[in-house]
This record gives sequence, C-alpha cells and structure tokens, in this order.
Amino acid sequence: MLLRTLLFIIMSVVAASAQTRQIYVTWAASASVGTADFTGYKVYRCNPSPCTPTVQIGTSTTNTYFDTGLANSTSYVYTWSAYGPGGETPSGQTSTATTYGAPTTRNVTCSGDISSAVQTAANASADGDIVNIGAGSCTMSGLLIQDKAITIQGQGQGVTNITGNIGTWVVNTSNAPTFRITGFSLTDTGTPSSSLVLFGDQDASWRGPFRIDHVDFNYPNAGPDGIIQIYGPLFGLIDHCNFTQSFEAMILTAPHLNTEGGSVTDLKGAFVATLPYQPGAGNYLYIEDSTFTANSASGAAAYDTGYSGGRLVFRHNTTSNSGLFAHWTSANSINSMWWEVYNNTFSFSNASPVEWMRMEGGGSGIIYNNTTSGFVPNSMQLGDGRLESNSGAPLLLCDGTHNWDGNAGDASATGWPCLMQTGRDAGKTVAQIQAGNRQANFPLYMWNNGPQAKCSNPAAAGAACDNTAGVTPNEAAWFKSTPHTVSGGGYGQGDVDYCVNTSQPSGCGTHTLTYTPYTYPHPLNH
Amino acid sequence: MAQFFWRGRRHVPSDKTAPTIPTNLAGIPTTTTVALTWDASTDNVAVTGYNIYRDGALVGSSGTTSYTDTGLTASTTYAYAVSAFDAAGNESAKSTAINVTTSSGGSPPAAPGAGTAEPLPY
Repeated sequence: MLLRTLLFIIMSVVAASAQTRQIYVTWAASASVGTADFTGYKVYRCNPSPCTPTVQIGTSTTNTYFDTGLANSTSYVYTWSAYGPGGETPSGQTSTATTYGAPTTRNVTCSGDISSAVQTAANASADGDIVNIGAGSCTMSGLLIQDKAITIQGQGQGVTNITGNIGTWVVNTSNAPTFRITGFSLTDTGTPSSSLVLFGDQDASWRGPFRIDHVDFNYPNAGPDGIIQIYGPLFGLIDHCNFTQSFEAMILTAPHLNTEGGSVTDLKGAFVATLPYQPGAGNYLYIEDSTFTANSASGAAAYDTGYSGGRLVFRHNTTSNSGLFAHWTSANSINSMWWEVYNNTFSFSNASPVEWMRMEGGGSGIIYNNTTSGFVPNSMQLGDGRLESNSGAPLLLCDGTHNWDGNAGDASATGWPCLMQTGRDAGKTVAQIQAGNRQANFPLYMWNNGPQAKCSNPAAAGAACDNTAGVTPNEAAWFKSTPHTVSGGGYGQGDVDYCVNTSQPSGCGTHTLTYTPYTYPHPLNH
Repeated sequence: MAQFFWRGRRHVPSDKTAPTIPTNLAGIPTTTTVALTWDASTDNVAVTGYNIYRDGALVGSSGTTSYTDTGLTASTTYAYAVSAFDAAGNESAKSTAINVTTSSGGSPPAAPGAGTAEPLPY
C-alpha cells in the first residue's frame, strides 16, 4: 500500500512536470523551395515580448514549426529565415503568441450518463483548460458541443470506457481549431450516424492543429459512415487510435459540410483547390500509429474523402480489411486530394477483397513502402470523373470542348487531361481554371509496394519487397504511364499521369520530384 | 657494436641540400575546400614532408603528396604553392603558384513571407 502510494505520488509529479505548453508557427514559403538554393528554414525565438528573436531554436524543412516544452502564460516572439548553400535570407517578419495559462482541470466521474456533466465542464472551461473524465464505465447519450480550445481526456484506452451512441459529439472548429481529445474507449453495438464530428463552418482558411490520440472506437456490428467526420479545411494529428467497424468509412473528410455546391459561385472544395500540393508539408491531416479493422465481407474504408478532397498523410498504420478511398470531382465540387501513404501494412482476409486504394477522379500523391496483401491484385485503382456530369454543370464533362480540358487530338482520350484527374496539380482558383489557366502536371508516384512484410519494414523477416502492388486504371486510355504525345501537340505533351518504380525516382515524365518526408513521429505525437 | 656506431656517426656529412621543388601542383575545389595534389620531390637523403601556402601564408604541412585546405569561402580565388623539406630542415623553393576558385554556393534562397504563431491548449 505504501509502495502504491509512493508510486502514485511519483506519477503525479511526473504528470505535473509534463504539463508544458506548445506554440505552432507557420509562414509563407520561400519561392526557392524545390531549388538547389534551398535547404530549409531556421527558426528564432525570444521571450517575453517585446524582444528581438536572435537565438536559433531549430530548423525545419517545411514552413511550419511546433515549439514544445514552453512555460504557461508567456509571450514568445518568433522569426524565421530560409537558408541554403549560398547563405541565409531572413524573412524580416515576426509573430508573437502567448501560451495559455496553467490549466484548470474539471473532473467528471465516469458513472452513469456523463453527457451533461461533460458539457457543463466544457462550458465552464477557458481556452487551455482540461476536462478530465475518470476511470470506469459510463455512457454518453446526449449532444456535446465543444467550441473551446481545450483538452477532453480520459484515463486511457480500456481504463475510461464509454458506451452508447455518442454520435453527436460536435467540435466547432470555427471557434476552436486547436483542441485535444484523448485517452478513452468508446463502444457501441448499434449503428449511429457518426461518433465525432469536427465541423468548421468556414471553408476559406486552413486551420488547426487538433490532436485526437489514444482513443479506441469500437463499432463491432456496423458503425457510422464516418466515426470521425472532418468538415472544412482542417489539419492536425490522429495517432494511436484503434478503429473497429464494418460499415462505410472510419475517418471521413470533406472541405465543407456540404460536399456538393449549388452552382459555380458556390463550388465546394474551391479554397482547398487553390493550395498547391506540397510533398512533406507539416500542416496536413496526419494519421499515424493507428489500427483500422473491418469485419464485413467486403471490408470498410479506413479513410474516405468526400467529394472535394483534402490533404492526407497516412503512415505507420496497420489496417485489416480496410483501404483508402477518394471520391471524385463532380458538377459543383473540385477534388484536390493529396495522398502521402507510406510504411503502412494493409491486409485483407475477409470474403470479398476490394482495392486497397481508390482515387476516383481527383488527386495525386506519393505512395511507397507499403505492405499490401490479400487485396485485388495491382489494386491502386484510378478512375476519372469525366462522365459524372449533370446538366448545367459548371465543371467536368471532359470532352475536349472546354478551355480547361486538354488536347482534342487523341481519339481514345478526347479532352485528356481532364480537370483534376490523377496526375494534375492543385493551386488554381476556379476563375483561373475557367479562364483556361490549366492545372500543372503532378504525377502520382508509387514505389516499393508489395505483399512482403519487408516493403513497409526493412527490418522484417522474409523475402525482399517485390514491388508488385501497382496501378490499374479504370479507363486505361485516360491514364498515361509513359509520356503522352498527340498530333498537334499542345497541353499535356510529354506529361505522365503516374509512375511505378522500385525506389524513389528523381522524376516522372517531365516532372521533377522534390520530396523529403515530414519528421516521424509527428512533433505533436509525444 | 660501439665502434661501428662511432664510425657511422663520424662519417655522415651534415646535410645542406634542399629537396627538389614539387611539380604539377593541382587543386580540386568544392564550395568550402580545395584538395591539392602534386608530384613528389627528391632529396639527397629523404623528403620528410611538404609545406602548403595559401596566398603566401603557410596553412599546413603534409607527409604525403596531397592536402585538403578547409574552411574556405565559396566563389573565392586562392593562390596555392607547395615546398618540400627534409629532416635537416632544408626547404625547397615554393612551387609555381596555382589559382583555385572555390565552387559557387548558389544564391541565397528567397526570403520566406509573413507568418503566424498560435498557442495550443495541449
């Protein structure tokens, strides 16, 4: 008993000392990124404000920096520079942030229905505070609206056990794009509409970061279409979570609550489409160190984008009977999906194997070092949305007649490359696209994917990766794996939609790949 | 044995001959280093080593026929020369100087733009 008491005291002290603060810093990228002149950024800091930041605290290869281990209620001033072989160029810019004060913790006992108690505690919280749910078993049935920058935590997976439908836990990310939810298990044998909805009623700025970690989501019988639903341009980290369900998607994203716009002036995904793809970016949605398990015959999607894309880095996860799926560009939405998928193990053993990745009409990415076994062979499936038209659609209907279409000289692929088809970059406004300012080429890259354990983990036993997990285009004529030439030349001449290699290539067709993976684990994963 | 040693010492003349001047000095630059090589000198006894001069100033010595000068500035021309010396301290004249220009480091990158900092509640 004495020993237990001593341990408890020691653990309490450790927990208290670990309560440090963090600041997220981001800046507009140097125009030299991707050239030989650019190596990275240096970040400088001082405190308290006002002061001049002259002490370098770190470097970053991306235009983001997570500064950790900070004090409460302290103002920090940051500046940043770009550096390379030819020297260092300061930004001349500063930005100041003040960490939140020492958090107030509001305890909720895990007993009975805790919905109203959690809501009351969240309402009473100031930004930076903690709602602390105790160990035990309890239920959650009511609506929970969380619109503050707070942490809601349990005591751990399998320690704080919440049962029942919590399909109405809504985080209003317009008010609180930074929050943390952590440390409990949710179990529901029913079919709720969703579990956790991150909803931002805005679609014109890139916001975050949030963190959802160390949560078990158990829907053994069916589950919602989207255990976690993320609406709006939101970035953050989901790590050390375990998802179990048998229906549709476990994590679902869309850049707006309404996936389909009403007209060309209400085009969903338009803001995200203006952001060019940035391989290795720090401010994307990171999903890592998690598991995804589906029980139904044809599995379920570990991740599914809605109609208009997102920015996903899916790495170091293990999935069972679940793959990754993206939907298409359609009449009033633009898909601008970016995928980085690496060092995962995907396996399928249930009755009806499917593809392990689908990119249906939109997006590009970098997919490598994955173990993928039991799925449909060569099952990175590419489809395009050129037939997904409807009357009066402002976009799509790829037939070579629109000024955003590609060439009209290839009878087998008239209009190639289509708007937002695989192999096209983002970074254009709708007005630019409609004016004929066409999307640049950014091929899909794949290398070192196959059924062997060594593909995702070089230290694993067994045979070398055979790199047999390749691409199967739905409509082969529309996806070019070799430089495409057409009579009359023009747009797309020499472009390639995708390349499959045995190791990281320097480029694909006329495109040059500059890629350094973002630091793993994610800086918030600690 | 002692007699042999004595006779040996007695009959070695003092060495007043410098090694020959090193030839064929060449330098390969990077942005911050120059790797020098040259052909060996000869001496009436033995060559002990070589002195390396950058812009007239001694920067180091080498027991072999190569030397890498470090800590240089990109896109800068330096004049190098090498001399040989023996155990008696005789140094040859310096070799013909060569000019070596370090590689360009490229241009400094473009400045990053404005940014934001925000506190996290966790």
